[in-house]
Amino acid sequence: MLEPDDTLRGEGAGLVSSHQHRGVVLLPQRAVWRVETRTLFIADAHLGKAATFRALGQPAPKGTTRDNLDRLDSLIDRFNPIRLVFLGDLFHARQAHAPGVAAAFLDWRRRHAVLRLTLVRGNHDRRAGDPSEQFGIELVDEPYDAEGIVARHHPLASDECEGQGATILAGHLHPCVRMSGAARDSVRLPCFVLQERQIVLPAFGAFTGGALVRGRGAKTCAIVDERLLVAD
Amino acid sequence: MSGRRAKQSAVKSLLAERGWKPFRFQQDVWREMAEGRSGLLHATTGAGKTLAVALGAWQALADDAEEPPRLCVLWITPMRALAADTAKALNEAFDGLSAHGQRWTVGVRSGDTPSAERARQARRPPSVLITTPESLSLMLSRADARDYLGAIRCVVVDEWHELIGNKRGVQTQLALARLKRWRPDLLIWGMSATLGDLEEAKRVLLGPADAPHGAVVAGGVRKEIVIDTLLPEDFARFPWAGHLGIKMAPQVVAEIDQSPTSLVFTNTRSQAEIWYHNLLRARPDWAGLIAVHHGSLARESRDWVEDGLKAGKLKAVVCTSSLDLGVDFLPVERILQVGSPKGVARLLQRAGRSGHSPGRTSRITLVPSHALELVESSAVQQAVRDGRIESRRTPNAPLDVLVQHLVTIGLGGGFKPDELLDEIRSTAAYEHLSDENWRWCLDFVSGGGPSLSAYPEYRRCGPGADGVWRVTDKRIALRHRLNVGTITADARVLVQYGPAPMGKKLGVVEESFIARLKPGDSFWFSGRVLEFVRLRDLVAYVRPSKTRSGAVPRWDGGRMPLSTTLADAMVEQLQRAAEGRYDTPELRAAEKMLRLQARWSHLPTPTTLLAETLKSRDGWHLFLYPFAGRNAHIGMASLIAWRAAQRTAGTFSIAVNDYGFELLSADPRDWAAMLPELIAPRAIHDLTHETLASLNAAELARRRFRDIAQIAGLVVTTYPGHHKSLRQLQASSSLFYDVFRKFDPENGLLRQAEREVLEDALDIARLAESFERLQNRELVHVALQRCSPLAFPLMVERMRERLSNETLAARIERMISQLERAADKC
Repeated sequence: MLEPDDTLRGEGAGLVSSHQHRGVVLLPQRAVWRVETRTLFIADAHLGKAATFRALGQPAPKGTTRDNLDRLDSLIDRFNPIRLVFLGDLFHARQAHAPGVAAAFLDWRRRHAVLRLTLVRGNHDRRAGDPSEQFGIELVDEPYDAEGIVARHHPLASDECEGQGATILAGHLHPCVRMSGAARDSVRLPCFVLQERQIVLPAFGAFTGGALVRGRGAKTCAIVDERLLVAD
Repeated sequence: MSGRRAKQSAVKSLLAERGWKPFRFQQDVWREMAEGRSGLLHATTGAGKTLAVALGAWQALADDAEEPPRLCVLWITPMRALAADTAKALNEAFDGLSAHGQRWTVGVRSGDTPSAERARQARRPPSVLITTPESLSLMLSRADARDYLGAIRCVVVDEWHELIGNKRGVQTQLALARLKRWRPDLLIWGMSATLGDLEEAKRVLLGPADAPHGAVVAGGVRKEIVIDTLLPEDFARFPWAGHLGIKMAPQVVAEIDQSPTSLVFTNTRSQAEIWYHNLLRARPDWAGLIAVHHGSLARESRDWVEDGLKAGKLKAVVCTSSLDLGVDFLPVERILQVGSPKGVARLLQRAGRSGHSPGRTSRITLVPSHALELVESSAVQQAVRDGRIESRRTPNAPLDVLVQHLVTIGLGGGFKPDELLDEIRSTAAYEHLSDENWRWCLDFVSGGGPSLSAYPEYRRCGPGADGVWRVTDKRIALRHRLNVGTITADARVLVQYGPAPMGKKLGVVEESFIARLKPGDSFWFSGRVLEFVRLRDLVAYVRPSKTRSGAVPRWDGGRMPLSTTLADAMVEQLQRAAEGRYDTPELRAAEKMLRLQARWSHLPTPTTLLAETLKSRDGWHLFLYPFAGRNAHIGMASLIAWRAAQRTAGTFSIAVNDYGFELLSADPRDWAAMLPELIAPRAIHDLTHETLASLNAAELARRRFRDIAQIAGLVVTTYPGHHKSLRQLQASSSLFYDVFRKFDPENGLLRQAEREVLEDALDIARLAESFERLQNRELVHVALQRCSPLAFPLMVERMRERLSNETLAARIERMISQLERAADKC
């Protein structure tokens, strides 16, 4: 597990509203923004996960897909992107293509009809099957060259992303980090993982869990409500 | 022979053939049963309860038919392990009777029963079926449940004290109500050896309406119980905290050596593994003569241990509550209890595992693991002398068990809500179930939260055209049957030798433990050192390790709170110490520590409330010692932290034990000045308000939700082998908790989690009472110079609750500034 000291060592550790790293901007809204190409990157939305649960007879409340799409809306309003790249696991499972979820997504798509959408297929997308053509999503496999950024679903092992080369963005891990302090206080926060050339994004989905980041040498950038906690 | 008299003489001659005479209480039970009365039988372990009820049922219900009756008596046992032995005892009795009358057959139905045997039982049901609460629920979920179980005329519930106070007991109450509806003259008999409040136990067993007509029969066989304490040889160096007690190992070895067969009880499974390891290290020559037994070991290894015990082949077995119950191990002469027995009833239950037959003496020796347990030992002996035993209460209307039951009945032939509600309200647990909660449960299983649109595709159970509610989806039926029960656990991983060659299955550990191991790491399990090879599909493959040490798995399981009966007895002992009366061997052994406590601080007594404060590197500590048991302390501590947080927002870490609790603040707090206000009593109304507010700031409800989510079927328990098909349904209860709070805050299971916390930990009425009681005591505040013997175990406690009303950003900023301060010093 990552020690909080690794994250915070050095001058100027603190809470900021966004963080520039390797030519892209990390956002506390669980997204990455690249201004040159006006592209937003999102990982692991897991749309329709709650619907999948319900279809299989497990109770899960409605509203998570709505919440996901609303948060996408506010990102789009704020940055006015021309392109959105999903780094895999956009839909949770086959059952996620249920009429309710599809209608909500289609409605959202119509409101952003000119936006270019690209999905790098993730493990869940493979099982779920490709989304309907009417969504107008360009489907690609990893690694995918998104105008100079390597877009992946599964991150590379840390020794594979050393050295020179293009920035890699990936998802899949749903990374979280634990912070602790005096009086035995500790909290678990979703985070970005910064490893050499690679940035692993936190899961965007409202109904997703997280996994603690393990391993040495990884730097993280944790999300504290509307801000980011950065080390240097 | 159908006459009552003929059957009586048959029983008498059966007993006479074995040279026994019926005890008075046995005859009482026979008479009550013959007259069609239900009741509760309370008699010491080994006194002959099983024969009393079994022969009573036979006398009341056997008839002239040639064929044995089909499923006439249902025998519910809380432990699978008991079933085989009960079957043997019943078979022997019925064999003897067959010379004089109708021959009854006996069958066992539990999670271990092979499917061929189940099919045979379905074709040709035995006269007496022995089963567990979980298997009974499973049988109730069969579409033909009524045809199969409707003929039952008598239900026997063995070891009722094990069920009365928990959700398995609630499950049993619901099943009994079902059987009673099918057969209003159903005879119900409960049996127990260690109950405090017999009338309450009978009310819960028979239901509030029927209980007044039921009988209570108490066995008159007095059993000699010897309780003593293994005193540490070196009092001065005996630790103030800890729970392992390993320092006592050499003395325990010596005690084991003196008796032919001993049971060594520990309070946790990890502790059992560690003790086994240490005993073997002290006496390598005992390899094969001593064994370890706990609930996570594979069935075959537990069977091996139990058979060895019965046959008198084992010298000692280190065990947990897995051997608390009924199976008779006649050779056992000696019980050693490592650590606190936590309650008087539990101590007596365990003591009864030795000298298990009428006339023999039971002997239990307490092995304290830290100095305060010496005082506890002294207290428990006093409580036994005074005849003070804890009483148990049924949980109040838990919605998770009810949701599960609705699906069970929906599968088992269906139900009409109004009829089922009457049935459910006839149980003690749901006597006061509100209309609102009932409607919520129906809504929840039929596809909605409070707003029906909340769960569009979801529907587990619902009304058909005929108004009968049924479950129609086969997948739901299958999953429900896999998950029936109220015993919760984390995802479990099977431990097995392999992968090549594939070998013996050893048992299960929690997934979270295996997740921390790397291939090549060693760990202790099932009394062996194993090397972890790899994990695949919830099977952890292992091979024998070449090293002799390794990690010990920790199994999740609630820690038992010290009973209030025992806690009260303990403060009385401290009072004796305060008066300088060190007049029991245990108090003398603890004298040095107690005098130190008195010198550095103060000794708590029934008339004082001790508060200690301390500033350390960790922050500002407050220690308070109400001696009300862990659960009550969690409630009081949360509320007091909440009150403190009203003055200045903050984050508190809370540690509790059975004696008191600690509040630790990261920011400066003048605890001494605030104390009178913090412990002030409030009107019930204000207290309720405060408690609900504190609940949202604390993480108690989230933790409680874990079990509820599993019982209600939200979190699908994974089993080795059933893993893959459920993968897209993996979500942790914590994630469910967050999602429900955000998107369906009125969800009844969330409210249940809050209510359970309110009832167990923050029971308003009891809290009000506790605060009143604090008022009647004189507050004694001591500003500590250094950690006192009483404070020490709290300070080193790692399991903690947290309460915070600060923003996340404020907490993070404090963490950052602390890091910066630390960095400045470098």
